Amino acid sequence: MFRLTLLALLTMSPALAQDPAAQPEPAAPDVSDEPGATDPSPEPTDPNPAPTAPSVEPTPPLQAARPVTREVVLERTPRPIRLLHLTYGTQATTAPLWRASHDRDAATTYGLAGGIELSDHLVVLGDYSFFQSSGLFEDASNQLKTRTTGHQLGAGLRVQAPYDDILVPYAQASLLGFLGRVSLDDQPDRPSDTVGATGISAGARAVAGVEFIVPVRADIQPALSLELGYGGVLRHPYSVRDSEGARQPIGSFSMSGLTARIALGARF
Amino acid sequence: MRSLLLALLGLTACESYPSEPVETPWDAQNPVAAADGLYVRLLNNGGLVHISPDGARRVDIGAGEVVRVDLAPDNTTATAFVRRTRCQPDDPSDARGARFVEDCPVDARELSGELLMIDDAQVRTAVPISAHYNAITFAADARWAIVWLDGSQSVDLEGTGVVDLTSVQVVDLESGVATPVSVGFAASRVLFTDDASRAVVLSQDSVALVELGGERPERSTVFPLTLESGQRFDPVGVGLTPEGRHALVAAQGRDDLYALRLSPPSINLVNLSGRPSAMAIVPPTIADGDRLNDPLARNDRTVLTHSNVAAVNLVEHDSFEVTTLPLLQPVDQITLRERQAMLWRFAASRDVYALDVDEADTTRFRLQNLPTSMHITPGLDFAVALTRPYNAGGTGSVGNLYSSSPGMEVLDLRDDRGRTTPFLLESSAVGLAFSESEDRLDALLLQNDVDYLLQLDLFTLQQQELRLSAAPRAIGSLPTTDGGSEGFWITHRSALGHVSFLDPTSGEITEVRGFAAYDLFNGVPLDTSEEE
Repeated sequence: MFRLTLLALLTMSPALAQDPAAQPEPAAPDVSDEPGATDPSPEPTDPNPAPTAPSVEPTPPLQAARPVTREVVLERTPRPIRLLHLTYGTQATTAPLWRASHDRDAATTYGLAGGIELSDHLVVLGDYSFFQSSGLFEDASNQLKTRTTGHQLGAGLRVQAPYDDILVPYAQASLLGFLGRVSLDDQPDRPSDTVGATGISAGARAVAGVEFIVPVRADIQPALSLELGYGGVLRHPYSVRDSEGARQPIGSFSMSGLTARIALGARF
Repeated sequence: MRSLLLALLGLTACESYPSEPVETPWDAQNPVAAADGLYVRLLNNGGLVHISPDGARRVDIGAGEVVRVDLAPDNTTATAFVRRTRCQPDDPSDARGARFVEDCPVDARELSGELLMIDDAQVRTAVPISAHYNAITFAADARWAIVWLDGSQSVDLEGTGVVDLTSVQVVDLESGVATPVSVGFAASRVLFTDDASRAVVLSQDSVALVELGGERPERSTVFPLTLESGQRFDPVGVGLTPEGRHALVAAQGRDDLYALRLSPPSINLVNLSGRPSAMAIVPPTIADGDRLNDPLARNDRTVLTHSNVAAVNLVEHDSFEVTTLPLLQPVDQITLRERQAMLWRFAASRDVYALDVDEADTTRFRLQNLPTSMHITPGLDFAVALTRPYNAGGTGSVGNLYSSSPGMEVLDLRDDRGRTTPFLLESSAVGLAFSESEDRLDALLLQNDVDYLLQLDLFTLQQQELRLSAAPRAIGSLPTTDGGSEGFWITHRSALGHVSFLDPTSGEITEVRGFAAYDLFNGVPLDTSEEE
């Protein structure tokens, strides 16, 4: 367990040195535990003791002041085992449905991640992330506005190797569930019916990162983490119904490639 | 009423120039209207959709791309040229995961073609044809068709393999058998006789006669049109006389009309007044087969205009006697409906002539603006010219307002007084159709970026607006199986697909939307079926 040791060098003042209270009292000889000691028999008591002159104890000479090294131990709150982070990141996607109306092959994600340490080196985590992006479909003379929304739930395990309870390098693997929605509107400047479709998928993510825990003596400790890895969700279709009720695909969406995330939160 | 103003009240500032056409991921400009609905190509993925007032249905064409749709003479069967692409790279790993044509390396694409016959959004027959063909001509009986490579259209020969530019394919639409026939280099026109027993194919240097009555189609006669090999013959007009005895060919730069007697084969050269610029064959009043062979009962003629002579020629079809009618200016366009011909010059002259073939006479009309298209109404009572401005800087007077604005002019053909009624338009016209009822004859006009349909009664010149929910792109009528029409379709500039169906009698509009979303973000699928 974490201990923060603080060595303080204290110089005792002469007054402090003369203060008998501050002096360690001489320990009484303890003979009872010495090997070979015999049980002392009680001395015989003289019933008529002879009068004696009062004795005067000689005053011990003044000792010179000397430095005393004292070890003070401050115990910091142990590293909290629960974490909760707000996340901001990016996830690569090259799906045609995305590229048709976006110049950038990545989605910007926002989310929340939480976890709890099962042991010093193992954490179980869950996270939720969200992205929403709009674009104009080039093949329609930019007359078609697309909106893509994604909700992603993840659950996984993190293996970590804490270093002095401040830096926590880790590797993490998660399984993902994905719920997406695509909306198309060809008359963005006036209210009109839009075409919308929903799709679900699953995926995985593997990242490596490092968490920095701010060392404060409190129950809640700020934390920041950076991670980079590879992740994505499987290609999944989006479809609408035609006039006969049959499903007609409009396209498919997938995410795969580099993912990077920065997380800011706390341990508690 | 803010639509368009009668000329004498024409004080509205008009937009003279159309905006750039908006691309849509579906072919909003050229849908094919059948009796049971509209066939529309999806341009992003090569698909085909059938649209009716009841809704939209995807036509299952398999893995391929529809490059062209046509309507057979029965007005119910649509034919679709489908191009299928297989991905066959030298290294199979190059095609791993490829789902769409764009995923396959260009040099690994192998194309094949099919001609699909489609009824009620269902593929009835598929006939394998070469993938490079892009045009089809039907015989009147809807049994025979000839597919050929039309060089005047965009041609994509990438991946089609060896292309034989001297052949066409004759397709028996009933049996689904396609027979290649060599006809000459670079076919450019195909005609069938009315009885569908013969086809005439005009190529760059010859005319081939294809007999269809035998066990299999075969070429019987070739008429050379040039004296030297390699000479080019650019036809202005090609036609068959109604009785099917002669093929008539007029060529650019030649003062002669080629009259080809099909059987026994012979060639007659008919001297014309000048170099022909347009040609049309006016059908006879009587279409009875027996009487067509009676020269005294026949009144069919060939009309020819000339680019260098202000005159029109009428050619009789038995003796090939030529009658010349003088005009004030040369014309280069002939618009024909039944036996009514309108002679005009595209965007270059304001003179328009109505030709009376029987009387061999013309009536001159003087338009306010330059005509860009001419339309003759059912019943032949009126012609409507759509015009474009020729003086964009004009302001002030009514005359200048006309000359600087797009317009529409109604030409009264009921007498020979040459009366016209001009209209100023809010914007350039994008489509015109006619609706005829017992007591009305309406012109239905669409204008660019104007979201209403103008309904103008040509008899009374009363107009009304039918509000549309989006700017239109094109208009047309829905044919019936007996050759009539029933209602109208209007396409709109909508990326997701938008078609309106109009009942002109009630003014009711039914809209179908969203069909262009089908496979919008998918490409043309690769053909991954097992090869036979």
